[in-house]
Amino acid sequence: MYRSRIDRLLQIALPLLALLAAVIVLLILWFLWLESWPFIASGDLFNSNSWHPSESQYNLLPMVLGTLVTALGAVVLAAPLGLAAALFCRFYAPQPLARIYRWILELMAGIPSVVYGFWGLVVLVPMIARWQGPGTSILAGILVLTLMILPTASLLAEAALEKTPEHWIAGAYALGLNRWVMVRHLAIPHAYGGLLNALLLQAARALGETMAVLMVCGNIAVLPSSLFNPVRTLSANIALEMAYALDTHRAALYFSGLLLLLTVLLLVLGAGRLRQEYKHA
Amino acid sequence: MHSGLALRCDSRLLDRVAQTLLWLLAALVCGVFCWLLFDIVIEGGAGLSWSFLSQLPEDAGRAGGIASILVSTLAVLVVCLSVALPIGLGTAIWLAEYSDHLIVARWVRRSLQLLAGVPSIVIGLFGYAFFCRALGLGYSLLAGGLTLACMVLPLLVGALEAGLRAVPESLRQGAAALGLSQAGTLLYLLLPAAAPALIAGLILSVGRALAETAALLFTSGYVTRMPESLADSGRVLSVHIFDLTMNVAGGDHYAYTTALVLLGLLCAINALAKLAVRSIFSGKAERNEQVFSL
Amino acid sequence: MNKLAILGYSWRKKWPFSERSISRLGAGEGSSKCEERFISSSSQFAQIESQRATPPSIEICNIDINYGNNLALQGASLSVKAGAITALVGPSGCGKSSLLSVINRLSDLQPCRVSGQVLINGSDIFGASTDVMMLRRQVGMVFQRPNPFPLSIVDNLRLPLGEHGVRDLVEQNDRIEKALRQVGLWEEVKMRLNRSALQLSGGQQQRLCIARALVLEPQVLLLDEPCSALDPLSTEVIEQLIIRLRGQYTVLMVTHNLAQAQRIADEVAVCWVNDSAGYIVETGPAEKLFTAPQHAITAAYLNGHQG
Repeated sequence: MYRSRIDRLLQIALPLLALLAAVIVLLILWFLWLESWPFIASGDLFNSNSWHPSESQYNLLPMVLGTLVTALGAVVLAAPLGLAAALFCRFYAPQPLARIYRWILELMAGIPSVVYGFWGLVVLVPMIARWQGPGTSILAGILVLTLMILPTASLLAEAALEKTPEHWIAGAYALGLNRWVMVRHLAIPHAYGGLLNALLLQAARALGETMAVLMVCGNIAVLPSSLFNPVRTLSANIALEMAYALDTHRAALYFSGLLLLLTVLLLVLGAGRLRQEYKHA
Repeated sequence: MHSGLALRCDSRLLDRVAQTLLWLLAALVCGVFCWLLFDIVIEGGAGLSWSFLSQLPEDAGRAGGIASILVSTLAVLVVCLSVALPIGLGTAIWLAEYSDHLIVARWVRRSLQLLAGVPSIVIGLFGYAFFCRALGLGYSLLAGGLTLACMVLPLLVGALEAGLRAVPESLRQGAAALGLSQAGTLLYLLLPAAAPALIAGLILSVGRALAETAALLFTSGYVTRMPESLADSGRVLSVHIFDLTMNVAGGDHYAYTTALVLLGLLCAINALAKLAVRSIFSGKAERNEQVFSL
Repeated sequence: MNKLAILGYSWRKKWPFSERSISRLGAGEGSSKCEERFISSSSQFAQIESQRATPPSIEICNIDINYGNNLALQGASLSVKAGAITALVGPSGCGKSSLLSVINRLSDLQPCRVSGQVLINGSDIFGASTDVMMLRRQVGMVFQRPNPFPLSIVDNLRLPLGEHGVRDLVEQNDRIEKALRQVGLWEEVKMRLNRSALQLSGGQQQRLCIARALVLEPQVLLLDEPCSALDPLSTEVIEQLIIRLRGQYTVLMVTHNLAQAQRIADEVAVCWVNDSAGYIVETGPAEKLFTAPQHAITAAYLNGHQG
């Protein structure tokens, strides 16, 4: 084949660009490791009882718990609601309504998390406060996170349900089976992989979310004792204190970032592995 | 069996229950979202005016407008796209056209998949450590744009690669039969044919970048004055909403309005994307197909 | 009633039907043992002839089918004799499959408008009092491409039984065995009932689909080109099976294969296309149509000059 100079240039430049793109994630891991090393080396992680950087107390447990509880709560709420919305869109709604519903979900999926956090703070938190406690709480965090991950989870779930082979559906109806039987025994088991994948990816997103939880969770760095207690997540912790953190304090924040990153990466890898396993012919 | 009739009703009952429940839940989800939208439109609309968009923020944002914020946002977006586009396009072309037989391609794709999952706050940390400190850019629009480029890259590569792969093989075969160089094939045939996907990917990335907050908190800065160069620090729309809500007492009403502006921008960009895709798709790509098909 | 079957039944009540949960059940006991117990539990397989009513006759009166603005079938009228095998023949696109889908009201699920009447033993299937689920139990359908569910062989048959109210395990096992014997699959699969149905060959899968329709003890069978996706050997097996069904069921079969129609059909209806709308040209006993057709189109088509 005729090779021009530009072709040869492309042959060199393109792989280099791809390499650059691929290397970013490694750079991130490297820099996080570098910056958090002073903290890991000092061993302060295990010597502290609470989070009080000014007194050199660097116990991350309250924040880790805060992250886990809010993310878990959001996933527990978003899973059934997301599945319901997806089933509704795919199998139960008449076509024009389904199209509008899907459009609303896509719109919602694009709303920035800071807007969800803002609305949560201005509308949801006072409502919770009327019920009990300060309002800014784990409950508020869970609700806002659920709102955030629900649309994308529904859209991904609907895409998975759409792959149900038409001839199974026709066969089921021809046997006089009703819609719920078809959904329960054929559509959902078939889409199982896709549904799990959607859940894992959104769980990863909920774990890493910063702004929404920062705005509604109250940010008190102590172990919570009820759903109505304020709490601080790892990500919110970083966002709040990064501006004025120095030395070990800063390294501690980088370390919490590293923890968060590794957890999320594990989930993403898990979701990828699931996609491989459940690849239907 | 005589029990058959009663049990038949059981199955029907389940179907009815499932139907009712699903409609209710779907309505609940839709209702909450509509509530949110209406709230923002009504409360935010009250403060929206031309002066709001053209004046500088005063009194920590409680008064005045968001002119400097809009400029900073635009600047950061431009930096982000001018860096992400070449890298993303190059990577996508390499993945789609050059590397199918290479194992390295799998690692590149895996790496981008992981990058897509990295939380935005972590990217912010990285951006601060790498762009602001290691590369010495300090708090600046440049650093912010570069950090955003890292966030947006996986999305861009994904959309671009899918677009390129969707171009039919007959186009490439036709070009090869004509003895076209690879560069020529790319420039005159493949990229135009994949244009709708390219545009869609670009728009998706802009949307994602606009929505980003945490990554920019410690990279592009907090300052509300009008930036004079890319080395200046500046505040973007999403950070402004955050600041007005959390740090400024009485800033809620302008937070609503800023949120409305942000949502409006996102809507407009999405609509533009759909329009662009439809117009380009119906025109150029099909023409090229007809000319070069075997 | 053996304990394993009860265990299996309650297990299945908790989890969705899935190949994994069923194979786990089988693996726990050792698959062959499981099958043995199944066979022994399905009591004495008695040749109790069911006291069913004789199969019904179907009157199709002036059916029009419209997809959007396209008329797919026009003015189709046909008398389907009770207990006979009627073949619907004709070239592609003349609405034969669409007509079939009207009879079990599968056409309700498609974006088409149907006008006209279909009477099964005198009752209008579009009447206000018609229970569509019961209709589809009485009128079974087999599709062109075999479409077994992604479940085990036995669960493919258990699922419709359970949903139509047959919950007693012994009766379920009886009917499953009877249906599988009817289609000639019993000997071939009795040792691997818990394996996935998707592992069967094409011909076996189609026979399973016929068994699945038969297990509900319908009175009418609609077959939409049941052999077109199969090899000649499997085709022959299924043709023999259809012949055995004569007298017990009213069979309406769409087929492209004129030789097949000649081999097995009692009555034949010939369809044709006019201006992209299908219609029925001529109907009558198979012998008469093949030897002395009255319509020119029938003569040309059946003698292979056109289509």
